[in-house]
Amino acid sequence: MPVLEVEDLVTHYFTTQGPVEAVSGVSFTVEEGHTFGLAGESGCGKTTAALSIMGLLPSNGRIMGGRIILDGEDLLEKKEAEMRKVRWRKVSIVFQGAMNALNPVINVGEQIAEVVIEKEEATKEKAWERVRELFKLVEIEPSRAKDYPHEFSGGMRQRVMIAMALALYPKLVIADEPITALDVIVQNQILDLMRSLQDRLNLSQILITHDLSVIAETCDKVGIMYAGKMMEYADAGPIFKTPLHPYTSALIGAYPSIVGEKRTLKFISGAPPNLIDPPKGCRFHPRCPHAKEVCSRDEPEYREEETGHYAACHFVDDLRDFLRLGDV
Amino acid sequence: MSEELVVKDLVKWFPVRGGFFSRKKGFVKAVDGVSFEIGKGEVLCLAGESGCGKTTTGRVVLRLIEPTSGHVLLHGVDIFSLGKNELREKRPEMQMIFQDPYESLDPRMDVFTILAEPLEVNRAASGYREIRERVEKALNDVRLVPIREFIHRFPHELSGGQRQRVAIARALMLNPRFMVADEPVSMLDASIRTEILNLLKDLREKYDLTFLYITHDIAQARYVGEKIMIMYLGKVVERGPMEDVIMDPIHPYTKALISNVPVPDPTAKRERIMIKGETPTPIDLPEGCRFRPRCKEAGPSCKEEEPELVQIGEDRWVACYKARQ
Repeated sequence: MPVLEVEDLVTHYFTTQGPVEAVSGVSFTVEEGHTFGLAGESGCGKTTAALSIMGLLPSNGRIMGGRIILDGEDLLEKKEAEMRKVRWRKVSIVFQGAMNALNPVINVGEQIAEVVIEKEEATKEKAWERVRELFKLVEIEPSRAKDYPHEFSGGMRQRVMIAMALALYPKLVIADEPITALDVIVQNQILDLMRSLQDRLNLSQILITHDLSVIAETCDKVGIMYAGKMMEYADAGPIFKTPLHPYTSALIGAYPSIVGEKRTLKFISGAPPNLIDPPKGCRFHPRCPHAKEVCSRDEPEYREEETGHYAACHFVDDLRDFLRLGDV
Repeated sequence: MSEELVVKDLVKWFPVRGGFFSRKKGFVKAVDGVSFEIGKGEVLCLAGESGCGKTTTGRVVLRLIEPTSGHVLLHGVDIFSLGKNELREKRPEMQMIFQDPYESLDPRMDVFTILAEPLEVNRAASGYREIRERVEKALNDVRLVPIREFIHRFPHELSGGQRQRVAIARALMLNPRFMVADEPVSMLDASIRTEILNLLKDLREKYDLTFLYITHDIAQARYVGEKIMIMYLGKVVERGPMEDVIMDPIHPYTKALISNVPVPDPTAKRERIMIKGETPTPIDLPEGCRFRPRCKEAGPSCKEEEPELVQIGEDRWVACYKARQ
């Protein structure tokens, strides 16, 4: 059963130069107990999609259309007061920079206890009990709950952030680049923790990252975004073995690997477009090596090409064999 | 192959001050006895986690910061023994590409001025015409074409990838022979990253450049270089040919590091060696081997004395007692 269904989400930012179409018509589903990976380059709209779900868009951001169904309820029909009951309790978020997300002058236990006291109207004692429980859950010595953020290493701070996100037993956790600033060994410690929490708590997750190798190792389903659009959406296996969109294939082809034969990496020429005035037709066409005239004119339909495998490209059938990646 | 760069027992300690009257409390042993050679036209990748001393090594090698002790021989000349004027004459031969192209370019200079500056400062060109020619050649080299379109732009009018090209062009202006590249693509998106890596490869061949390439990303190191050196807490733990080290790492730290590198293939089954905790600070170093507290293979001898980096095979060097047996 899906925990979250996002349908045709459209989110704009209103700037002095005009509206930025940060997310334009994005759909995806997160199944219970699964990890959905949302990938793409900077500015593709992945974080905006997450903030839209959380109802935490900056003041110039507005959701222009679509539906966000969390646990059977449409979040876009809720008022801010009702959203406050959803946040933390049903869906919570772990941000990239744990140092900036934590208050440096309050000890970390207090920061988590505060959430529990405010949201659950718990007593101080109960809240601290929960803090100790959470610390055990994320494998930090509960005695460290009285320490301040600067006394923790980067990996430990990210654990604290995860503990905080889990404070009110949410069903869905959105992790926005949770391991980006960390070293590989610590990255894996955090990913292992997230995996084990997922099993133990039957948690569902959205993992947002620019790093496709992290997606390959952790996600069940993957969505590849480019310039505010979902380009391809499928199970992790097919995305990496038989991609149907030239962007996905190019992005995977741009990643060096430590296994397999050393090959010359391909790159995508040009840079992502300015979303105040996105390209007509397919948004990827100015950089696409396979683009034809129709691509600059008509927007390709986002279709289910194979069971559970969606792509938005005019030439899926022509490119199918071309894009198939060799057994890496 | 002749050695372009020889580094011997390089040490850089930073004093830590604190307490009453800012007394010296100790030292951060950022680089603590590092030796290596790079052959002409070779790319040696220096890899390791944050705080291992790789950036400091790169900067001390170029004498951008003064060393505590040690020697760096560039083409036979000891960089550290040079006086101010001699060093200035030697500088054009050794250049650096920095990590952040947003901070390494002066926002008030246009591309032409940025690229002309090294020529003017070093009086390396005979006049405006030569400057113009060499700037255009450099822009061609880094493929910022059509030149007309880029030459008078300011850094804020360029994308991240284009800025890094300008930074590379600037480093090339004085025809260097040795370059230190410190995470030159880590701020860039994947699709643009590859373009810069391929560009560096081409330039290296074209100008027979020697590189010390600093990165935390082993997969990237494999793509750029033929040799790799792994640092941990200011020491080199392993050094050798790239493929040998990646396929068959010997030092327990290298093993763990490489097994933790993610692979862009969901079906890849790889055994992961987990090690406990995170890298400690290089102020209070553990006795004996620095990696001992986190090492699964550590024995009693590891506590007594620090293992030296010794050769154990053809061009393979490891600092571990276990590896010698």
